[in-house]
Amino acid sequence: MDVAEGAIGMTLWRLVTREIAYRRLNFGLAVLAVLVAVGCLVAELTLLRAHEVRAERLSDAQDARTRRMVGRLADDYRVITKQLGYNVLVLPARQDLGRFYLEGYATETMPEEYARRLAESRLVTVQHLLPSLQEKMEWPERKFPIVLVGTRGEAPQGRRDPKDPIQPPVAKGTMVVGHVAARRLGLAPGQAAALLGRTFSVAKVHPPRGNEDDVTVWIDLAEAQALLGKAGRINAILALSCLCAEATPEGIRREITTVLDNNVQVLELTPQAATRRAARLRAAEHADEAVAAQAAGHEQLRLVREALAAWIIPLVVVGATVWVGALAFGNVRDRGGEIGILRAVGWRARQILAVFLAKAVLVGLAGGAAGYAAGFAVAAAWDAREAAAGDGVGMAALFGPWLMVASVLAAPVLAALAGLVPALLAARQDPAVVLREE
Amino acid sequence: MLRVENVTKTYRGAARTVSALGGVSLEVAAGEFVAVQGPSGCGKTTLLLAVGGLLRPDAGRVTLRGADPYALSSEARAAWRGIHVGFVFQQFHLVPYLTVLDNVLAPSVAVPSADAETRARELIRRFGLSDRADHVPAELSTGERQRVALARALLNRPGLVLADEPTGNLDPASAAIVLGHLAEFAKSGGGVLLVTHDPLGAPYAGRTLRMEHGRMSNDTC
Repeated sequence: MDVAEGAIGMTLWRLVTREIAYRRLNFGLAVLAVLVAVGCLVAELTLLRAHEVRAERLSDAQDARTRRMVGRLADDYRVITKQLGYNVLVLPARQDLGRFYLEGYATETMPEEYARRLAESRLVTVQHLLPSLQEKMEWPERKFPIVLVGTRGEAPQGRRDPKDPIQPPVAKGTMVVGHVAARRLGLAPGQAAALLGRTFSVAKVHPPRGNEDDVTVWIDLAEAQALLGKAGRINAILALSCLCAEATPEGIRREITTVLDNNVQVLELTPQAATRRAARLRAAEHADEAVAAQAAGHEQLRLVREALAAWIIPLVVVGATVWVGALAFGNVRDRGGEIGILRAVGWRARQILAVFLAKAVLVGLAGGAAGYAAGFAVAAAWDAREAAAGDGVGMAALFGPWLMVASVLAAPVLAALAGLVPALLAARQDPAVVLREE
Repeated sequence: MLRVENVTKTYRGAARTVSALGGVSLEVAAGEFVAVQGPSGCGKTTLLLAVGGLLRPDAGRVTLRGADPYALSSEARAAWRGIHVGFVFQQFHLVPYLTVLDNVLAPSVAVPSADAETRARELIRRFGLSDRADHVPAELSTGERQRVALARALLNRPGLVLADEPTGNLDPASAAIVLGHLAEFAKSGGGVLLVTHDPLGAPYAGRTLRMEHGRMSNDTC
């Protein structure tokens, strides 16, 4: 650019800036239009951004809360499930189940050796094995009906890590008596009591349990077998606390019957565990559904706001464009004589066009910058109100540099577009008409 | 320098048509001050606009130093005007928000020149406006405004100055100053075509033509 070109720019610029200073109201109203449009846009988009941050934060918090709750619930159920396990009862294959349910114990027997085979098998799903021999009888010496249970505690499982026994054995020569039987028969720990012609020392009296245990007498398995004339026989093996996560009643049943050559039948005693596991899973599903529903709610609200913005923003932008355009038309009309004389002294149409477009760009720049500041201030004030209620997102989260840049860059373009038609009219204005009429 | 040959111009409105120029011919030589006198509405302003390249005639030919401005494109004709023609109007047509200096400099946008500001200040000084250089038109008297308009017309050293009733709004003293400057410009070799209904310009013009109903009634008054 040579000196002469520099002089052109300088004079055009001087003309534009001095005209703006001269017609401050026209310029101010045009800037106000852009300010309102950009301000609405920035406030709306910033508040949408704040809403998204807030929704995301709430969602994360809710999600974390739910996950914690479900985690605690899972732990609880894991503990409960661990305590309950899958308990199954192994009975002789010949046992009539109808009679078993009526009598409350198996009337058929099977070899005690089955317990050893189970213990030494490669079963992985059963943690505790309790062989027993029991029989409902009248205590001859006391004339009192009892359930006599011969037990030896757990069958040792050689291949496994030793587990804490969940049922301790009854020492030979001793008996453990249920609460009701002890009370009715006046038995207390340390006392001696004859049973089937043999004297036992009462080792322990159980507290009330509210079931058949209250009328049960436990003695050593071998002694029970001897007393009942069933040496080496048992009529049930209690397989307790299946802790393997993959274990199912069907799996346990299949494993036990395989090991014992199908000479037994297996009853599941605690189906509650499976129920509770299902309940735990269902609780987790409900939690997931609750989180998803909340997220869907936030998304729905966001969509509603976006839809609203999709109407409001174009409306405001179009309104502002029309406003700026109308003001530019007015400006062209007011400056008819000026355009005429400038054309008469040699200004080209494109120079007239440049003057009006330059003014429109300045309107856009000023309106865009002021509009961004105003819109951000509105959003910040709104957020400050939310912050007072403990739900603000903070200035850093609100500030979007891309929005600021877009506002400052897009507003001049829009303003120039709004002023383009009036500027073209000004450029094409016939100076002869103006000069002749004036 | 300026040759106008049988130029006609008719304004066609919705209701009626008006024949503003009905075959006008005239010549202005370099260094000549020609006044065209006639009543309002006789076509004087139309003649001036046509000569200045602002209003294309329906027929006839306008040439300035042998060049026909209407053979040029609109943009080229604007540049041609900036170089060859200076305008002075009754209403001054100063840009209200520009200072005297900036108003005088306005034609330099069309015809850039490194010494434009020096030339503008020299014209301002010559027309007795030095102490008004930073004033806006509203702060000037009508005589001062017309002198600013005249300085603006002369900035690019045009060959021809077209003056349309330049003394119409001036008191006699101011009118005399403006007409004196126009005569001085003619003496320096420029051509001046003054159109006016006021006989005040006649003494300054070397030749006065009379115009009525869009035609030259005779060669001289």
